[in-house]
Amino acid sequence: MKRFYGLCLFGLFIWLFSSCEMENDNIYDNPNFNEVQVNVEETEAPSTILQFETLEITPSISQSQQSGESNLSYEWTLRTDEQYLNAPIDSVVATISKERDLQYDINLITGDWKFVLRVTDENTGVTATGQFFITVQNQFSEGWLLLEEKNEMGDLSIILPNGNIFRDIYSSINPDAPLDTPLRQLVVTNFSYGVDEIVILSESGGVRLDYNELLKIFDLQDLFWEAPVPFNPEYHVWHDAINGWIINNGKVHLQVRGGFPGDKKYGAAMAFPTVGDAYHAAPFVAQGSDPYSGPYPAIIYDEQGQYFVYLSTALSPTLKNFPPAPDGAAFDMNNVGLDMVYMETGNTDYLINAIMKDDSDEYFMLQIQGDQAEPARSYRVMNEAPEIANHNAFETSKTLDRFYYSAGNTIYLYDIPSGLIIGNPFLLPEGESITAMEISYLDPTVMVVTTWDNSEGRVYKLALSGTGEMSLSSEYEGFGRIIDLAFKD
Amino acid sequence: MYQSIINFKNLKMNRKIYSFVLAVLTFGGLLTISCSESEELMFDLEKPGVYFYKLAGNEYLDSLNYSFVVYPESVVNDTLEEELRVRVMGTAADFDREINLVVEDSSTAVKGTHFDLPNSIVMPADAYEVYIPLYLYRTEDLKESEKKIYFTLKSSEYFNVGYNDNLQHIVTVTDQLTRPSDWAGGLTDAFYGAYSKRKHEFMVQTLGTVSITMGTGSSISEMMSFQQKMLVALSEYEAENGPMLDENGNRVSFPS
Repeated sequence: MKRFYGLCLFGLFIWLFSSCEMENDNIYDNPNFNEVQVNVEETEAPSTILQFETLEITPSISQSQQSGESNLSYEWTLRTDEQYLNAPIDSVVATISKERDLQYDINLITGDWKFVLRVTDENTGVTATGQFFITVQNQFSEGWLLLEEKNEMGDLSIILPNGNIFRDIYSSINPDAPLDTPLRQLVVTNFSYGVDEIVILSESGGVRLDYNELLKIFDLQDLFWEAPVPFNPEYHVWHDAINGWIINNGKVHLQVRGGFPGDKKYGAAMAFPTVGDAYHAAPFVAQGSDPYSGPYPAIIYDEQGQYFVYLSTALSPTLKNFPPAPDGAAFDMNNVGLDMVYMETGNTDYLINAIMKDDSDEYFMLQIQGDQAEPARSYRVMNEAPEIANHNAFETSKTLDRFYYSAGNTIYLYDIPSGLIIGNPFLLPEGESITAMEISYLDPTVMVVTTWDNSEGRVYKLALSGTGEMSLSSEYEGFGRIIDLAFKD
Repeated sequence: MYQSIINFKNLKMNRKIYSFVLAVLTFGGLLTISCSESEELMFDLEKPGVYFYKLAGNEYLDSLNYSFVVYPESVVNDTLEEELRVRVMGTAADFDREINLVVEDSSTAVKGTHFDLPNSIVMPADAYEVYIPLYLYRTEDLKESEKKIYFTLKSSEYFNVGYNDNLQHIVTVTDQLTRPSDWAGGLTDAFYGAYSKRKHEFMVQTLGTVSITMGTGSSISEMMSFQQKMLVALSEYEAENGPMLDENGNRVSFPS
């Protein structure tokens, strides 16, 4: 009986065990099986590549039972190679080729990517894969960014320090976010601290780009607590990494950054003293004194009332009228009576140059010293400024009390204290009209000038002597109509 | 002796048989209950459920605080079109199905006085979701108090209740203007100046929100923006009406 019970229990045990036994008969142990391998170690592939270069990989593939590769098919996929927690370690972005050898234009953002080759033996359906880890790097870390219009579209190109040019960068990186035209301004910050920005203004919009990737990250309207209506941004500038300014439809909007908590955005249209929003600001905000120490951190001009206001240094900054002009002041900041043409920070700290004109088209140079309690420094009629009324661009020298202005294809160097033109005008080729001029604080010995001849845009780098006189250094061609330019560090 | 041996053997035999049978029954019973199908995972196709739908991330947001104070005095009622959002956990039907939306007795708001609902609350034919409009009335007593409406979805002829966590919703209505606790000197004064009720009313009606200080949900950067907007608004008011005076006879102003 014992044996009977034992047999029953044993039989029960065997029955239970067999139901849970792993099936081993899926392993195909056939010595004639054709094993395919992608030999990653033996394949030449770069570990890093620059954006917009072409990746070429000729994989090493071996088969155990087959010679020739007529039985094989191929598929290359592009995958992310994220390492974040709770995010896919590997997700397929796209199938990029069905050819054996890969040739792929790197229109990707910077970072780590994985290129995977899947080889399939069509006779058996068995596949083998090989993974290639490649880091895409940015080649736009430094150079002159050019904002241009061509074929009624906006785009960015860059001239690198070695003279290499990359064109159509914006549209390549942001194919689904075309720039609105007409374009207005390109702003590139090179802060010594804080988060740098690239902002492009259009007539009725704008975008902010990632500084490294040049990828669009915001529409300009998103940077406001309440986007103004109509949205017509005319001017944008940053004063240090503290005060960001946008003038939209003649109204001033300020964003203050600092060590206080919460989001920082552009605020509602600032009120002018006593008149509220009954003003029309000229599209310039000049930086006067240090934003925290005053007395006049920023200066703005009302074209309607024809007077200046300044930004206070209060915890919550407001716009204020200047103190009454004392007797003998060069001019009255509260009653200028001229039209603003151009305003920019001068060659020394807190100095501001303002080019203005009256109703008869007579031009004036006003200088303002933003760190002085009485800021009106000088006032001069620009008698000796040929073609000033036909100006198409201005740029202040960063080292001298002088500024450059252009008319047509000619650049003049104007000395502010004497009111005279220095040296001979610099002539660019006939038929070309200057569209923009820029000197970077990072290299004040070079001025970059852009031109347009109604079919092609060109770029000229001019070397500036110790006295500010110009000589041609290099030139580049093949651009659209260049609206603005800025140096990216 | 042999009889006792036989009896003893029979006794042992019976125990063994008993143990064996017990083991088989126990094992068989375990198999039976371990593999039974869980019925509660299937919803009732005949009588689906209803629940309040919340957007992802707000699954546990079961209430709304509504204040008339942000609107001008001329606004005496409002309709919340999208606050009560009800979904079906099940299938649509080709006819209208009544939803049993109950206002709990514990509500302090009075139907017909402070609020109203449509006469007929139904899930329309062929629909999985419906927005039930809620009509709010701006009564005088709301200036001094807040009233709550406690909604509960209950089963009806056509619906069972759905997710247990999504069967209730609370709407609080008020017309009170409460001084922010952080507007008493300090940072808020730097942006807005000294507090007055008139100034506060003016701000709320101009800005369309009661979140105007850090303590009420704003931020420093936004307060800077509000300050500029109020400077402009006050300038426009004064151009038309002259100086604005508060409840203490002082002129309303903002730091400029």
